[in-house]
Amino acid sequence: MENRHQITAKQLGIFILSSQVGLGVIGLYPALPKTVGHDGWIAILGAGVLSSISIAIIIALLRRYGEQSIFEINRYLFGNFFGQTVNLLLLLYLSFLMIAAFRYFTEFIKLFTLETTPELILALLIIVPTAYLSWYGLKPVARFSTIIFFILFCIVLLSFSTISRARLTFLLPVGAADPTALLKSIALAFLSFIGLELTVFLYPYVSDKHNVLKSVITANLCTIGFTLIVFLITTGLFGENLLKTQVAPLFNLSRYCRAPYFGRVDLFFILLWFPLLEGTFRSYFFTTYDCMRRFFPCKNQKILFSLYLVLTIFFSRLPKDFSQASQLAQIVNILGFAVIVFLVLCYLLSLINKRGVKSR
Amino acid sequence: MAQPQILNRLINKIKGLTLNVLSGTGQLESLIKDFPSSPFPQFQATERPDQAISSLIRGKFLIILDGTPVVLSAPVSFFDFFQKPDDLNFNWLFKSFIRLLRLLAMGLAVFLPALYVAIISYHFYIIPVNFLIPLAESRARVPFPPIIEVLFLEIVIELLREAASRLASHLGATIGVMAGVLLGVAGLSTGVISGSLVIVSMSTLIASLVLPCSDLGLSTRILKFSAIIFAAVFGVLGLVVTAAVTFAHLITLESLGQPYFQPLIPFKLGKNLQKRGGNDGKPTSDHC
Repeated sequence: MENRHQITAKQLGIFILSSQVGLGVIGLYPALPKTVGHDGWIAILGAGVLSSISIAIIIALLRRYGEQSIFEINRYLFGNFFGQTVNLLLLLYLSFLMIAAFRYFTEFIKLFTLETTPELILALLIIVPTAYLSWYGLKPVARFSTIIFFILFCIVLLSFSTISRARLTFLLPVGAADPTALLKSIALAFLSFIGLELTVFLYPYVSDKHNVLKSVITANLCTIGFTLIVFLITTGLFGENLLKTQVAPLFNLSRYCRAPYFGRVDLFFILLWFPLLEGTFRSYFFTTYDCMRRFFPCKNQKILFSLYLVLTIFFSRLPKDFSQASQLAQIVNILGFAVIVFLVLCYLLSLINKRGVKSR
Repeated sequence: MAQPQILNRLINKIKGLTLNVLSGTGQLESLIKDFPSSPFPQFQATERPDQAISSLIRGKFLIILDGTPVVLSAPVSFFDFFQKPDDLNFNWLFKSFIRLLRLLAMGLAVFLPALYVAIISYHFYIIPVNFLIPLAESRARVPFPPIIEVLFLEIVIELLREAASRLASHLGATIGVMAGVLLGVAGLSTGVISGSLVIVSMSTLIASLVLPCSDLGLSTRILKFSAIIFAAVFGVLGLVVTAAVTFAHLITLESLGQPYFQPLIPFKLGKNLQKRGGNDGKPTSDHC
């Protein structure tokens, strides 16, 4: 396969969308209703605007350095030694998030489909499509991510099919939450937009760089729309009190759906959940591997990839249970937020330290 | 209309071969295809002049081997295997309908028996109660687990197909029908297989016969067995993983450097619309 890493800006947008909505939507519950109750949608909108501004700043940073990724930019900004240290920290963040996403994904599959199957066997099974695609490069990974539209369409359709049973009163009164809590919840809702930072690692692979801003912003808008729809419908259906107690309201939404000639339809939605959840893991799995490959050049890619695969499975087994995996996911989400703040700071720093900046 | 760089690629591949004997175009195909281990055909083989001409008109290249009646055309996409030259005689509406039907047939041929195994073994709760009782009654007489029952019937059907293809056409069809009917009735009356499985297996067989390309039919049969085994071990999750890996493989595949799953992925709207007209088909791609 020629140029197996080269993608278009549109494909990068789809890749980012895929990385955002998978675990992002699940990670939002039940934290958001606990903080601001039914006003969580205001927090999602606020976080959406904030994430779009972050994207604009991050892409402005990348444009200042032409074809470079964040690894080269850090070396310009912080010098060789400190730059490499920052790069190593970024790589650790990616690995940490990827492992947390994988464990969380495995736990969800276990909880909703095969409760008695050993987790290690499940992990070995569900890593297969991701590993296969990642081995062939970014292009197939990005192509595969296109199925996100079909999945989102089906989930939105499911959400609207239950709308007749939702109560508008569960969403009223608007703005009842405490303003301080609302501000805090914006930071919390921002966590469902984690994934946009992958742009800085994959930017050199994009063939039409002038379209990156448009594509990634569009992807972010899709995430805002999807998250808003899901939040409004689940809140309208379950109410904020019931929502606080649920692990995955989107799963429970499918149990509300009735279809003629079928006993239960939730199985069909579990089928859709698999690629959706896998999306986040797949995006981080590939990006981490790619960064690792660039960071530690190795002639024998097969050995490096095999080692990476084994280590991913090994480290994902370290959290003891679902609650530890959830705690890990929360820590990782906060780290993601910190990375985005760091990237915004890098832009500000690049205005002062102009080493490596391309003249227009 | 044809792209010179694709032709050069093809010529280089053929020039790079060091062979003493070449027995047929199938052997040539396996030597020059981009992904030799893939179960999916990456060249389209035909004996029909109209299909060969149609391929040429659509900007593809033909490989003609002296002494064999079969011609290979490339580059191909997955969706080319769902078309027949006769389709051009139909109105675009019927043509699109038939192609969609063939795609559905491929899905059924691969996943229907696996879905049966997954539902009966793990997810029987999706079956409505009024159908669950007759299904349980038909299954109650069968002493084997669903996987053994399905594998038994599917292997018998595959044997029957192979046997029928070795016989003369008029004999093959008659023996195939007779053997199918007799085995089905005997299997049901002795309780080796259930009535519901007969419906599933026959639907799968009919669906697999709908596919116009025999090479794709072989891929379908291989995938069907792997889906059955994964569904028996992991239920619907095994089915989803099989589907995901197959899909991942299809979008990774390339035929002479052209994406195998285009024009759907990468999506090319213009190309989709042109295909409806039937005389387009520049095998162009920006490799994305």
